[in-house]
Amino acid sequence: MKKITVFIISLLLVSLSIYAAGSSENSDVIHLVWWHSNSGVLGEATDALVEEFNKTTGAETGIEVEAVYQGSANDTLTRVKTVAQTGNTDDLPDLVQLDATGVVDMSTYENIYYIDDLAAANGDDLSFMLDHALESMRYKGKVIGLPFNASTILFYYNKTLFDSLGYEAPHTLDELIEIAPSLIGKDAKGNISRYALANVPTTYELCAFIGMQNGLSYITDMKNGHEGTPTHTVFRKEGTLNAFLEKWRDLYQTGGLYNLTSGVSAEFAAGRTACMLASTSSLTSVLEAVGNRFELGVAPLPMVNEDATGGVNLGGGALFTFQKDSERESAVWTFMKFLTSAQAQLYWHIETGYLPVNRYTYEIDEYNAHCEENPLFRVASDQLLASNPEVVGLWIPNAYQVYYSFQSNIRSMLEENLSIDETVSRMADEIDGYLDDFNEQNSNQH
Amino acid sequence: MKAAILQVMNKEKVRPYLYILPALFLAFVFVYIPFIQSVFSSFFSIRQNGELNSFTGLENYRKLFANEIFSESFANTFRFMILFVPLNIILIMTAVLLTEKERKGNRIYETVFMLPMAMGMSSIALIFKYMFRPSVGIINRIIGYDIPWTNDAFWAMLSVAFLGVFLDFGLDYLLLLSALRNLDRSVVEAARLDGASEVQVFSRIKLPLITPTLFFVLFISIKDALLICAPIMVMTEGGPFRSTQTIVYYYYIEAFRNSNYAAAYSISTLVFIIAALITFLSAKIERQGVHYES
Repeated sequence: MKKITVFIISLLLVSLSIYAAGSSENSDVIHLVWWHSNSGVLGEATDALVEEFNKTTGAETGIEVEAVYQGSANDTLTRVKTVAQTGNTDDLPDLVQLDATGVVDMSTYENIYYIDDLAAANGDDLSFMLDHALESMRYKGKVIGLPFNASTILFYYNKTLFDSLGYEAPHTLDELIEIAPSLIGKDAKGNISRYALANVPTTYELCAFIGMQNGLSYITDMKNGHEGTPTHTVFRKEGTLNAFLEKWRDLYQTGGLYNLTSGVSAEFAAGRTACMLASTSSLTSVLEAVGNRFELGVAPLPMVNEDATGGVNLGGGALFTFQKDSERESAVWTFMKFLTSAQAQLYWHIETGYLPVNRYTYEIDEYNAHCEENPLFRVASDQLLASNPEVVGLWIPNAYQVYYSFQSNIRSMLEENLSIDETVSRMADEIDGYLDDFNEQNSNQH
Repeated sequence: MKAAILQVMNKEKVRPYLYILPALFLAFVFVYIPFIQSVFSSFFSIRQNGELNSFTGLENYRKLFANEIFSESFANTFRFMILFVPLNIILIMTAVLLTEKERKGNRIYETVFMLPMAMGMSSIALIFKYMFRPSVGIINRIIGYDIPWTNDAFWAMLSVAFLGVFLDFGLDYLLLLSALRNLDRSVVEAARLDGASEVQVFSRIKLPLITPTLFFVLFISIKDALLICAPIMVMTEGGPFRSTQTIVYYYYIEAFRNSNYAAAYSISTLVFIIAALITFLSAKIERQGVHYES
């Protein structure tokens, strides 16, 4: 018994002394914690960037960053929300990387530190950032999170097949409808073995297909939630969803459209669909999955009509930070500047395929050389640069419900012959209902 | 002081309560208090950040019952239950009966059947997701049919039911196998001597003798079916078109994706009531219909 007691006490003492040594050693260094959701290739690139920072800028300025993988973007958001609800800012990470769904929650926290304010407090500004990137994260006139991993939707196609038929990538949905029948492949029994396209459009696709119309359009008021919580949808009144659905139904009627909601990438890589709509950030993995099966081609998203010149919105993730003490805040800014510097964004782009958010990255020779070797990446960035920066993603509470409202109703329209007006009305009513509920739950008077 | 405590401890009546006190304390902090809190909160409208906004009475429940997604999720849960529970019991009983005898070869099968217990839920769900891919998955390749597994409401639910069975297989198999092997051999031998066939031995003697375990497994399956969420979250994310969105998954979405805590609290209260009803019924059925050895 005595021996055990002595053992436990000595163990305790040893561990305490180690702890004391550890904390005294780093007392001059500011230790920053960065929560992220980058795994696989992204995780490796993240760790490499952090290591580079700690060795160079970090070592010079006395900052040490620790990157902590917190699971998927959703898991990370759930963790931040849980900590934030306790009201203890000290427990929040110094930086957290979240995707668009995080903005709706982040905007409600009093101690969220807007990036323009953070930059200004450090005698800096955000002029080095790409306009598209800044607009994509602008909330009530201020940049709420610093874009870091940026991507847009992209049109992928089987170039080998297109070449054999003598087709170019379609510029408009009408052109896609025209060629869709000849993209269909059939097996010996007459069953369809290859569709032209497999997709059921929902929030992600519609942000671009609606956003591009008339040079700039929105799904809801408040500029898709970038000026505050939306109160209602606008696509019914503006006729933008109608315009898109008319084309989409025509595409379905060619027999070349397959209403598939999951595993679209795998189908495409296996040669079971001739085209697909997916994020530019998938480019690296799709190239790998396709392998030598066929030559991959990419092109800008087909336009809904000739007036739909707005292009695509920038999506992806951004870095959020919170008000703490000023020394820590300026350390956060130093690290953010590093992550979004022209060189770091070039490295990040080459390793992961995400589009650079720093406007000067596009001017670096190394970047242009990389694009020449990988022309598909050039298509992705050209599409972004040609887009209207004000075409933005949708920030909406009940995002999950909205996602399914679009998806289910579009399927019903195609498979159960619901009229386009009826479909649009259903979606508008459902989403407006969710927004009413939300605004009522969060209102001040009752 | 110490003596006084010991004196109290020694009193036979107080002692057992003192022993369960730590467990009770934990149960109170982590189960009962949050439970009472969520039932209480379900009568309020609640802000996005979790603050109670105003008292609304039964309004949250009224909204929930008027909500098509809620009734759909409810129906999906029962669809899952109807597929999962019989499939689970039948497949496991088959495996148990095939490996009942303690032979050398059966050792291998035992290990194989119990192995799912040692695998992580999310990893299995992810592997199933890839195996059940309609055109590029291995399942269709093996069986040689073009089943639209994850693209069709019924097939998606069935594939999720298979996943559920796989996840529960190890433990249920272990329970039923040990129940069967620990039967009083003399009764079985006597019946065989009297000329009973193997079918008769099973249906008349073995089955009634293992009913306590079988009922336990059955009710655990029903409970698992009612509360299924995480495997679905990984495998189908509720799709296609919400057809595998179960009630607890819906709760998760409202609470953690939509920050609609008012709806989430009322769903969790309703799920509790249903689970309590099932437990109550199962206890009743167990008392009436189960043969216990004296």
